Amino acid sequence: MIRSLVGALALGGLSAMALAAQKTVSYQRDVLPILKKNCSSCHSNGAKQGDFSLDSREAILTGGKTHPVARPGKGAQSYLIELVTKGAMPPQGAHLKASEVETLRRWIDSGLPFDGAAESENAAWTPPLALVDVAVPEGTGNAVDRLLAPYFVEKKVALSTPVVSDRVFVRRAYLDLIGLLPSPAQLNAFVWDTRMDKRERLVTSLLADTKNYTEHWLTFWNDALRNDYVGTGYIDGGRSQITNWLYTALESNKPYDQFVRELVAPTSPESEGFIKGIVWRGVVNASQRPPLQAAQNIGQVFLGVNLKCASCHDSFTSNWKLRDAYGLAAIFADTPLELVRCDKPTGTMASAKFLWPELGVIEGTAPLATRRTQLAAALTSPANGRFARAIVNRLWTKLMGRGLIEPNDELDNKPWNPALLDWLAGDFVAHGYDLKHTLAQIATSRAYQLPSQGLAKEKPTGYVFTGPAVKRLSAEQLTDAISTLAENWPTPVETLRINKGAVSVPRRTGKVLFESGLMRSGVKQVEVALGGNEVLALVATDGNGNSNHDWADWIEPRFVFADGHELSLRELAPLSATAGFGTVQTDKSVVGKPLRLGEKTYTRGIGTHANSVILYAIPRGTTRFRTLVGPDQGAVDEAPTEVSVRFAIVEASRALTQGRAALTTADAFTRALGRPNREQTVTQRQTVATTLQALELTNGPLLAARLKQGVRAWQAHGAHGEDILTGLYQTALSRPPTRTERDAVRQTLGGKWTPENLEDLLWALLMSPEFQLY
Amino acid sequence: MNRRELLLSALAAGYARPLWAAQPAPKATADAVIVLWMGGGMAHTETFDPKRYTPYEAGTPSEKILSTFPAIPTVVDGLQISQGLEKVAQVMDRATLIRTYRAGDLGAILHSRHQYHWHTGYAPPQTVAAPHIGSVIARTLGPLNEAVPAFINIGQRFDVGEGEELKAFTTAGFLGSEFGPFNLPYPDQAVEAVRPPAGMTPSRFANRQALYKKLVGESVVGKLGSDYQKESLLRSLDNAHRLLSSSAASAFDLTKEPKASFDIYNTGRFGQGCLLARRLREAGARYTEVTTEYVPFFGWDTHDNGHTRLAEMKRQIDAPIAQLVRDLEERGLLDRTLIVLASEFSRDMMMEGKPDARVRDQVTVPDIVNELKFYGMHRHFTDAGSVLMFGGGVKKGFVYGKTADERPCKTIENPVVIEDLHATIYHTLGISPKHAYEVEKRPFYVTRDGLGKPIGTLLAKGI
Repeated sequence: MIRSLVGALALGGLSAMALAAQKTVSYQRDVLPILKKNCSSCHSNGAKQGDFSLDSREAILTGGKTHPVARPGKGAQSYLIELVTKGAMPPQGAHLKASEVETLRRWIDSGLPFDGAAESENAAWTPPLALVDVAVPEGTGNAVDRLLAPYFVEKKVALSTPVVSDRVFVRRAYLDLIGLLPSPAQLNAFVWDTRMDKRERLVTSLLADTKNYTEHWLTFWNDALRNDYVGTGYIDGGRSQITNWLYTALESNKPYDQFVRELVAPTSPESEGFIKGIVWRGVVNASQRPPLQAAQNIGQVFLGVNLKCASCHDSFTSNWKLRDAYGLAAIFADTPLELVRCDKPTGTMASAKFLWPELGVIEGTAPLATRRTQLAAALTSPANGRFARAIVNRLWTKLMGRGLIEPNDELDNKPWNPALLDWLAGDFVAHGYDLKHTLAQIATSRAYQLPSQGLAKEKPTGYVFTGPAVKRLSAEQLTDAISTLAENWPTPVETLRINKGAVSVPRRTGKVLFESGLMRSGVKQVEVALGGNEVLALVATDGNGNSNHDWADWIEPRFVFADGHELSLRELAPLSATAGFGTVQTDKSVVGKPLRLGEKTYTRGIGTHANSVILYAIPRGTTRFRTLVGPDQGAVDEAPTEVSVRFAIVEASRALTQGRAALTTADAFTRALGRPNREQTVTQRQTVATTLQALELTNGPLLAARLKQGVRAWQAHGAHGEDILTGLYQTALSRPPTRTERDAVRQTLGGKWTPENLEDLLWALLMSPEFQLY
Repeated sequence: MNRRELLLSALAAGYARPLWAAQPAPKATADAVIVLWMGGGMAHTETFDPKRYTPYEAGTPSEKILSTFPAIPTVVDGLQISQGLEKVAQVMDRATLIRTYRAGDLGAILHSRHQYHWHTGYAPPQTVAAPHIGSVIARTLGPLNEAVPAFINIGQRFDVGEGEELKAFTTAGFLGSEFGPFNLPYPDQAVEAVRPPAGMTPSRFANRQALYKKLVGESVVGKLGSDYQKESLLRSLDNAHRLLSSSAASAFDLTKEPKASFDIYNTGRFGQGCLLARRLREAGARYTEVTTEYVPFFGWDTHDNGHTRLAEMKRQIDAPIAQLVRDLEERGLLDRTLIVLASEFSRDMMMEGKPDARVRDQVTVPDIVNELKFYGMHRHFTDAGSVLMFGGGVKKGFVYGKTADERPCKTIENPVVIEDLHATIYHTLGISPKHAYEVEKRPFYVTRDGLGKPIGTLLAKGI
């Protein structure tokens, strides 16, 4: 009381009313608005300019680099008051008003009470660079759960919560680890399995499903490494795909440290797209030159460091300086790199260095390749705890819906369980940077098996882990689920291609077994051995850049079984058939006349016109394929100088024509559902549903076509409506319909199982929260 | 829940947060914007800034040719525009004409890159996905009528050359897809986008929704309590259903327009787009863009035959633009609707880039024009271009800026840059140029770094 009276006297000019109102200083009412207006952009919400944060009482008392900033009860002598009184702070903009200084002083005088206001979660948290050794509490079971046990006690989370049922677990594990719905058969096999360790076994077997693991995680890495099949930058050769490298790296589960080294210091052109960045034609902002893009992306993706601000000026929200961002960028620069501050050249040249020079020296004068190798070594050094933390936090997020640190790209924020994060990171390093090991470690924890928790907001404050957060199917998961339901998959980006008459297929999909070379007349006999693939492609291409009179005949084409028994292609329906002119004919040339090769006329065969691709499913047990090929003599007689055909036979897996969403280009549907443009790195997509999305889902032509396809497929199996209903529920929701659901469907659809009604049922299931959220 | 509530809850769900500390909002003089986009580079000397006319004659030195059309008078004394725009000439007394838009110095010309710059106010690439001006407006002001999406984009297909580059800025970027464009590439099919799926009767559509509701109600998960994901999913589907069953959908249906009126607008896809924009404005559209469509080497992207092709482009735009102005005026909407006609840059016969920042030539121009195909503005000129505005609080019958009468026909007074043009547009809508959204803990201003300054001279009431 005496003190406030003295304060009031010192102020003199204040009115009696103002005095009455200011008897006690409230942090929320009086102090916070002043701090927000003047100080927060540099010293709050995790920002710690000069190592000083206003996020908590403790942080204020600790102070910054040079001084303690405030001493409780000693407002007038506090450094904070000195700084604002002199106008040294804030460094830009208007100084604090005398009344505002006075409020702050009185607040310090009264002991800096926070009146119960939440201190920022990231207050006074500075993670050590190296990983902290974490002792796992005694006991049995997954280390994740043993580490979580004391956390649950502290947070008063009931440990008795039962884990989810088998059906829920199977669906969750399939979607998280390989991105696909389990089939009803897979589901039932698991449910009926009585082995105690069946959940661990399932996780192991899913991670061992190399193809599906790869084609699920490809999406995550494409987003993060901003790799896409088409997009900006490709128009001028200013961008390179890393798809082949990435696919192989995931397929072989390349150790993550090696994975990153190959991206940062590429030894082959296949992985150089990441640091090459996107080079637009013309002049770009200094902070977006390729070396700076490389620095920003390496910082964001591998370290959870935001260097975007510091690429233009010293950051206002972290301690990173312009010279730090440029130091990292200089490693990638062909020529000396001048520091440019807010688009104004500074005259200072950047010297190459890593963000934490103690992790390794970069010789600025060394050749580019050496510098990159030195950086790769420092970045992936076991002493760099952030490197491992960043990735295990991402893996945790993918499985648990929400990270140990959020957002994933702000690794300076405080994890909700630092010990768990560092243990996971240490374990990851100890297991040779094995991504699948850490995924298994998390997926086999009891924590992963807890019921999923719906969050009230996308980024809640005061988050307490009580189980995985509800996740929404990504555009790719949703597309793949629809493909599963429709038994029809979209055409992948990498498929059979014809370029100037030459046929190629992606090497992981198939191979060209035979090429005839240019034929202007005559006949060739062909016999090729089959290697166990699923699809045979008969390709006829134009050989001279003019597709006139390129009639192409496949005479007496047949599969041959091991015992010599033959099966004519005429007895099989092709999967698809295209011709460059007219339509593909059986036992006739493309113009409907008898098939003729050279001197001879044939009664059996296929007549087509280049460019033509005819696909057949290869019957089981066949080992060889035989045919005669040649340009039809009818065309040779009519226009001998025009005819020019090349024949090719390709053997491939189904992946040639049917691929998962990760391998397709974005369309209106996947775009609406959140597949990003991949011009900027995206490590966490927005998952909230939007009206534009809903419009695409409600009347978009792409989905409508897939619904029709799906119902046709189900009806083609000859199933009755009731069985289709059950099948759709089993496949889409991993459970049969309840009696009331069955009744509701019957009632609303009037008991009629027309294709339209089934399409509507399928649509309703696809839109349901139970389908889209898990 | 109405759309405004939806938006508010969407904000709660984690969309980019506005930084309210920004400047106080100016008083709005417009509620809606219609951008008429002349994609491909519209030559100022051939449209709204005619210079000395040189008729075609084989043997003419290229250097001599400034305009390939004669100038025509307009209803404004002393103001001339180019032949082929006779109908627009009759409404120039409602217009503010900027003659000195200087496009950004982005180095070598790439149309999509300059279009990115015009539409976002930022030069690509950016460290975060920059939002389109339509998305900024949608995010800041919301829809004018809940049943009409706030950002409607008419006439651009994306499966064309540079389609990927066009997508890079035709996006809400970090603001979130809720504020993205509602794309209607074919105006005469626009109604398909707001109708139940093709082939579905209204009763079947209603029944499908009923089935959905019932199944959600029966599902165990459907019964579980609050969760932002589930709520946003249910709400967005309700919204879509309401939009698709709404009476506002008829605004999207050009067959509902009286034939006489339709015929005036029907000069092609752009003309129909203008008609659609008018109908949507009546129904309560907030930001609508109608493009002549950018496809490399088509439309305004004249690398050859410039004269012939511009005659056709002017035929496509002249009647619909004049009619759009008249119709909005007649309906009492012009005063609160800002129409902005613009292009990413201009064209010239000789010069690529700007006089003080020339860039690599992309088109071969002979010294002497001996064939009609060489007669026209074929190079990309960035030093001056025309922007035409109507309504929404801009002056009437007013010309701003001056360009040289001899080559290079560059800006000689009152240059206008994109930041200031955007600031002016935002100003009419009551949005400060320093308005900002938070992304990755930093402010992202609606004009580049908050530096845009509205041009008060253009506004009837000043600033």
